[in-house]
Amino acid sequence: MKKLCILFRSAPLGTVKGREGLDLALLSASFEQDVSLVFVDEGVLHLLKEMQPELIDGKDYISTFKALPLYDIESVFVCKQSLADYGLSHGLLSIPVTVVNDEAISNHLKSVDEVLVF
Amino acid sequence: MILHHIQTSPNQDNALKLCLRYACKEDAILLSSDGVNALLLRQWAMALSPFKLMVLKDDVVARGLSERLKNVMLIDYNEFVAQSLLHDKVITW
Repeated sequence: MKKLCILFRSAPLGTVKGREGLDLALLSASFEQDVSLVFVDEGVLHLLKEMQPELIDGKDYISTFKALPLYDIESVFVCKQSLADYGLSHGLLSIPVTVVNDEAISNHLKSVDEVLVF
Repeated sequence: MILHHIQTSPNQDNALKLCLRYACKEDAILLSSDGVNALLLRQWAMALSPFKLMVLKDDVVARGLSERLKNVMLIDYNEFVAQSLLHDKVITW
């Protein structure tokens, strides 16, 4: 079983990167890989609970993040600095996450087998 | 020990900035494609200076930057493969 970390750094809706990252996460988890997610920089915007992608013809893959526990993906980390940079608080987020500092993210990247950036 | 791979210019993309935010001092950074342009700007050259740095030679030569970047470690594709095996993992930002 490989430890796979999927890191989201791109904004949602503007590109398909977020959806690709989420698809890969769910697929890997269903093949019994140990998947963790990390949200940094603009990637933290994926987690806003009031998002309404359908208004701009976006596909609502965002709500799929709520299915993470069903796939046994329990390690979801968000960069504290990025939340602060974008003026966001924990209460605005749609799913339970662990807010961590830069050092914790560095250590996590070191500890896993593979890191894929979206 | 991670090899961080940056392929985009810091003027287009946040990849280099994020990489530097999370890289550890024992990690190495490889610049390719427009990523090599970062070294032309003092702020990025300074920020990269604590790390072991490699730059893909063909991307430097193709951009006419051989003279300007003569002090950096240039590697070819074979060395790129060797380095990716030498490190625990490669993160392509």
